Amino acid sequence: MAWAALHAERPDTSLVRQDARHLRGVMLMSGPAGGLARLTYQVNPLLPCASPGLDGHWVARLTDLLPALEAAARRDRAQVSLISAPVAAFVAARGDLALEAVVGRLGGTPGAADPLAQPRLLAQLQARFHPTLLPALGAWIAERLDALVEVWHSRPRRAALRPRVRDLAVSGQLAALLNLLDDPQARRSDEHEVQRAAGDLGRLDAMLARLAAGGPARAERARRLGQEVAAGIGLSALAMLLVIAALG
Amino acid sequence: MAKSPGAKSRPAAAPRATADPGRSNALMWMQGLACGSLVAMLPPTALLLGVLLGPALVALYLDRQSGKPIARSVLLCTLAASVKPVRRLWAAGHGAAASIALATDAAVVGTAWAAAAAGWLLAELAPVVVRVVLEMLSRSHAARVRAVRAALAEQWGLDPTNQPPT
Repeated sequence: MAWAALHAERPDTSLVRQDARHLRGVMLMSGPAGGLARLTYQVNPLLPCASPGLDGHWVARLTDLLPALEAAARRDRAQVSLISAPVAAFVAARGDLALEAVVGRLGGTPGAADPLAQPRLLAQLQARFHPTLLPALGAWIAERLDALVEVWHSRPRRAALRPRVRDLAVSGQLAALLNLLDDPQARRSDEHEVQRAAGDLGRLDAMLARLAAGGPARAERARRLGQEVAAGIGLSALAMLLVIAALG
Repeated sequence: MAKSPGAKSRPAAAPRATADPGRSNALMWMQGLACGSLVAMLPPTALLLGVLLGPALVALYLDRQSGKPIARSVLLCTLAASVKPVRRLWAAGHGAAASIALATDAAVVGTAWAAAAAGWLLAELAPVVVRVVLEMLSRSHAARVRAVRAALAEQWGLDPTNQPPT
């Protein structure tokens, strides 16, 4: 502020104050979309992405990111997190609010994150900045297929999705892959169905408990029914002999 | 003065509560009257039936269950076995000598009393057989429910460790 006040060519202290507030907010923001790394990219618009996985590639704009990631995936498909913290901070700093929201869903730790977060970010980047096929990135996603389809509760649905997702992933159509996995209506339906199945399971358990505890009631019912059966047999015998006597 | 509905219904409920014992007594009187009439008007038949239905009468006395289910079964079976001797009595002229002859015939009495025993056995065994059938049906139903439950748990990956009640 003091520096801004001393320079006559930049007299608008309110604008500088607003910028400072925004940058402070960015630095204090938790998760991959905030922090010091994000702030570094935010205040240095020409700074290239400093992710160690992108060695040899100069990535200063978002349009350059996906080819670099594609090359990294082709080189080492086994790496756990293709979108490292510097890449996430870079995307959050260079992208708009929508991309920042997608980066925010990546989560701080790999285990706690939404399994679809990385494919979602890659699909968004592909759709907006690099609309060509990305087979190496697709293969990287296909290696994590089991974790991706686990967002679905229905196991038959998982089994049906698995080959289709694998085909789309290997062909590099990330957006189509995401549409298949991240269909909100189908996932709501899946959630609704699993809740209904849990309810059905509870009802079946209650029915089994009733059957298990119904022994005395069945014994009493059997006693009454058995006595009626005995009386019925006796009455039938009497009626039959009376008819025979009447006819004979 | 107007009466409340409760006050009106209360006097009517009291005789209804005592109606069952009264009806039971009336039934008892009617049965006694029928037996007395039988003895007075048809003494040979009454004698024969008295001998043949002896076990049934004992069962009626001994059975303390509601509705006398064992005695009912014994009585019906014994009555079924008594049809032929009574018919023979009437065919023989319905005389006292014929009645005594039949009542002392070991085959006739044995058949009637064996029928009484069969009635008793039937009344004892039928609940056991029905119980076995009901248990089998229940187990079969439980097995079907358990299979449906397992399929549901498998389809949705729900609580594989939580076992259903057996």
